[in-house]
Amino acid sequence: MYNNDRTDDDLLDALRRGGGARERAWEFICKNWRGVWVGTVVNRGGTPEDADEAFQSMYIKFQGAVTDPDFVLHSATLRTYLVQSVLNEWVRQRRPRPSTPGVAEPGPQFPEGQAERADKDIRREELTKAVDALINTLGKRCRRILRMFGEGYGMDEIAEAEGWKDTKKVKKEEKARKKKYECQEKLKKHLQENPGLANHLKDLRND
Amino acid sequence: MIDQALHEKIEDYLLGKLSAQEAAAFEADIRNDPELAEEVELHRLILPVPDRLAELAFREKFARWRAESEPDPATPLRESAGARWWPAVVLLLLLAGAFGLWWHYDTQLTHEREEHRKTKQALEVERLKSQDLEQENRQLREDLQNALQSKSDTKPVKRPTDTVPGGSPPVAVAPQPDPEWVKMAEEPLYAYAEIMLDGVRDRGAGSQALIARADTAITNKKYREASALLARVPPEDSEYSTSLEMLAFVQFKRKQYAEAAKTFEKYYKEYNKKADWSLCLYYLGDYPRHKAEFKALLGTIIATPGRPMHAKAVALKAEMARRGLW
Repeated sequence: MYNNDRTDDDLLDALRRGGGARERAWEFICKNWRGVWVGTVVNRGGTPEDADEAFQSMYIKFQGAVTDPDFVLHSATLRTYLVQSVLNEWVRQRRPRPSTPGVAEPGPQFPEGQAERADKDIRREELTKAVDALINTLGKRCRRILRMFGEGYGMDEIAEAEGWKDTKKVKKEEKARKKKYECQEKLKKHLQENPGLANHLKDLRND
Repeated sequence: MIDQALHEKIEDYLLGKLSAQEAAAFEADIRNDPELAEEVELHRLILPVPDRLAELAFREKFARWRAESEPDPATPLRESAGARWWPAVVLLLLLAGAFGLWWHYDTQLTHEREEHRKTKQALEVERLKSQDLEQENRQLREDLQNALQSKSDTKPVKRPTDTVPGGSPPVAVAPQPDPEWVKMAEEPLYAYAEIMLDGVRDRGAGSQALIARADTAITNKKYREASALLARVPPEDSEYSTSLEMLAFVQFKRKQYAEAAKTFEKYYKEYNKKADWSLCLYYLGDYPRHKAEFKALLGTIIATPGRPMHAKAVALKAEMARRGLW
C-alpha cells in the first residue's frame, strides 16, 4: 500500500543533512506514511485534521530528535517512531488546559499531574506567539535567510537562492553568513529595545 | 552590536557545535564577562526564530503534499462516497427529469406531426377523387351533348320505368352504327394505338404511374377511367405528350371524334410533326368538320412519294373516291 523504496537509514541521513535532501525526505514521509498516522489517530477517536495538526506540531521536535547524534531507533522503524510521536502530540493537544498560564483554574479539577502538564502546554503556545511577534519585525529577505538556515540549508545554498555570486572581494557564502548575522543582530536589537518582550521570552524559556 | 566572529561563536556554543574543550573555555569567559553573558542570553532568546520559520514553511509544504497525495484514507468510505456522489446523484436526477420532459413533449409533437401528415394525405386523396369525379362528370356531359347533337333526328325511346309524373321524360340514347369514315379510320388507328401503348408499359411512379394505369384501363376497355387518369398529367410534365397521344385514342374510342382530332392536333403541332398520317386518321374520324384539314394533310402525304404511309394515303384517297366521300 505504501511506497517504501527509501530505507530508514537513507531517510535519517537525509533528515540530518538538511536542505533539499531533508525537504525531499519529508515529502516522501508525508506522501507515503500519512495514512498510517491519520489511521492511528482516527482509530482512537480523533479526526484526520487532528492527526495532521499533531504531525505538523511535532515536526520541529521530531527533526531535533533525529538530528541528535545520540538518536537511536533501536528495534522500532522510523515510521513507527514517527507515528508514535504524532500520537503523543495528539494526546498532548487534546488535554484540557486552563486559560491563563501558571494559574490552574478552580474548576474543572485536573487529575494529579495533569494540571502541570496543561500549564506547560499553555506556556509553549505563549512562547510560539512571542517568537511569532519577533519574526514579524523582520523583513522578507531576513525571514527567507533564517528560514533556510532553520531548514538546514548551507550558506552556499542560501546565497544561491538569493542570487548572489562570488566576487573578487567576498565569496557568496560569506555574504550569506554576514547577512544572517545582521538579521539576527537586528532581532537582538529589537529585544534590547523592548525589554518587556525579552523578559516575557526569558520567563517562558526558563519554565 | 557585537562583531560577527563573536556572534557565530555564541551561536555555535548554543547549538552545541563547539568541542567540549572550546565549550568549557567559552563558559569560563561567560562567567567572567557579564556583558558576554548578557549577549549569550539574548542570543538564546532568538534561537527559536529559524526553527519557527522552518515550521511555518513546513506547514505550507505539508498542505501541498497532502493535496498531491492520495485522498484521505481514514475517512469512512461510506461517508466520503456519499458526500462525493450526492451532487452527482442530484445532477443525474435533474438530467433524467429534463430528459423525461423532453421525451414526453417530443413524442407528443411527433404524434401530432404524424396526425397532420395523415390528414393532409387524406385531403389530397379526397381532392384527387373529387378531381376525377369532376372530370368524369364533365366527360359524361360532353358525351351526352355529342350524342344529342349527332342523333338529333333520332326519337328518344321511352322506358316505362323512366316516366315521371308532371316532369319531362329522361332522354335515352340509342346505339347508332358508326359512319363509314370512322370505320375507315378505326382500323389503322388501332394498329397505331398498339404500337403507342407498347411504349408506355411498365412505367414507374408519379405521372409515369398514371400513364401505366391509363394503359391498363385502355387494355380493359375502361376508357372513361383512362381519360380521367390521363387528364391528371400536367402540361409541364415530361409525360404530357404521351398523355395527349393516348388521350386522343381514348377520345376516339369514346366516340368523341372532334375532341380526339383536336387533342391529336395539339400533340402533332407541339410534339411530333412526323405523326401527320395519324392526324389524318383522327381528322377522318371527324370528317364532316375536318374535311378541309384532312384533304390538305392527305394531299401533302400523297405529294411526297417514297415517304412512309405514302402508299396507304394513296389507297385511302382512292377508297374514299370510290365511296363518293372525296
